[in-house]
Amino acid sequence: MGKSILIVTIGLSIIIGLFILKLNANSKEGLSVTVHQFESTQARLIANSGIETYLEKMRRNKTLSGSFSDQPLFGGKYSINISGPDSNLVIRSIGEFDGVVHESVVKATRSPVQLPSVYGAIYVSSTNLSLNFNGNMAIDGNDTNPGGSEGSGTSLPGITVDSQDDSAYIVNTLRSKISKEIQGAGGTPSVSTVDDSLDWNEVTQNLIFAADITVPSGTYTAPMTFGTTASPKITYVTGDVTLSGTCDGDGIMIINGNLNMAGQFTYRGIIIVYGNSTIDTKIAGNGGIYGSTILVGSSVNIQSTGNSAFYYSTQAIKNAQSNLKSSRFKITSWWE
Amino acid sequence: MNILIDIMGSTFIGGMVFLLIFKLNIYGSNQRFSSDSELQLQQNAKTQAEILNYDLRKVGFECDSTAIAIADSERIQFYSDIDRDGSIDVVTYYVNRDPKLTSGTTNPHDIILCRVVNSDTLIGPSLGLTRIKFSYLDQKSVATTVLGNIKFIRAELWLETSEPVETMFTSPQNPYPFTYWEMTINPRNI
Repeated sequence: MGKSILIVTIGLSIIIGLFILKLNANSKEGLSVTVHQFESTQARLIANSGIETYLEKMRRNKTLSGSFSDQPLFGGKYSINISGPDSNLVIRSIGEFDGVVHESVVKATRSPVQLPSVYGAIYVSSTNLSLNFNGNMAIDGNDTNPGGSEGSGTSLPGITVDSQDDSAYIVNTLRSKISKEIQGAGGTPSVSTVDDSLDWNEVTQNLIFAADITVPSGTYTAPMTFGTTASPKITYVTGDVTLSGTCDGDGIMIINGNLNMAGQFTYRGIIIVYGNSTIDTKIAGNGGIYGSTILVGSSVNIQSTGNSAFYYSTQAIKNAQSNLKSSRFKITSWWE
Repeated sequence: MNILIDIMGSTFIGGMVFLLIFKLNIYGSNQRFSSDSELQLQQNAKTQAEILNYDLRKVGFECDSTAIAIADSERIQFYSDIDRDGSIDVVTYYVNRDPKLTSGTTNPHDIILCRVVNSDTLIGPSLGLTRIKFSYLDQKSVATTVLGNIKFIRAELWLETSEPVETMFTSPQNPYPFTYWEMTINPRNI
């Protein structure tokens, strides 16, 4: 009798055990369905995050390309491959999470640098203008190549300002010797007005976002290079700066403060000196700026005592436009 | 006499045990069927969600114009180079309620979600789908009917088992357990 009860009990236990195992198997399978969905989503997010991470890196490192394998992220990893020219970048990312793989492919173009409008060899935008030109400076709105030869572009005024009052002030203030050296469209002295509605703060902020070189405020006596003709740069000077050494550069230079040029300074491209209040620009060296110089501030004070020359140059500006790289991308397609 | 009582008693107890095992077996079968049905329901929901998720994330891929052509609650048509062959395809999802297509199941609510790429129509099994609803949201997640303003596509799926299942959540009036799946997709190309 005892044995029978034992056999029956064991038999029932086995049946119930198998039944529970079967239910657990379904429960486990159901869980694995949910987990796989989670893993697929994670793999996709990792692949996409990898692309966004490298797009951010490409903003700073404008020549970044090639393969970057097994970058850890969110408990998984991703591998990136960047190929193609700036006009047709292909960024391929393979995200992996817990054995589940997802591929995302993005095509993008690096947006061109938005250069500001150029109105002359020098453009001054200010409500309170002060000039003190001495020395042998030259301001020429006729198109001049950086080597000094004549350019083929249309001439612009030597100096452009916002109002007739500023224009009259400049003409009346200039010494006759200097007056002859302000050449360009409209005769000598070539001073003209323009109705400018640009938001210069926005213009400069966009350029600063793409800056290749950041120069802190200070005095620089050693020779410095801010880009070359083959590889122009966007240079951002964060405050007042004195450049007394031999400096050379290509591209766009944005100076958020006062500019004091005392040495041999040669620049090809656009220089923007801007500030919220007074901008003091002192030029005492023998430099030459080919392109355009833009001074923007509520009060602009320009003092010149050296032999500096300011030339409007389409060649220098076009070179900057062609070769400068922005930090913005346009995503043309995103496969995920 | 004692032997007779022993035989009757053991027969009674044996019968009870047999009935118990029989009943347990029926209960186990029912539970397995219920569990299998629920698992199938879950897998079907995931399969349909994966298909939609795969396609809807590619809305507007390599397409320069307005990517969505039709945006209805049960029909969506969009442009995308879905097969990455360099040419833009027209992809359409729509609901087919033809009972002939769902005659393989006993669930009268079954519908078929058809996927058409250009002129190739793919009509698969119902996979338990009983209702689907697409809705379209703009940049601020506000419902919109302007095709060019659509930035998010929300898909809601209602699925039921193909066969009736007795569970504590079903009733004789609606003996089909159901599940609901919702996803809001932000296609990156629109």
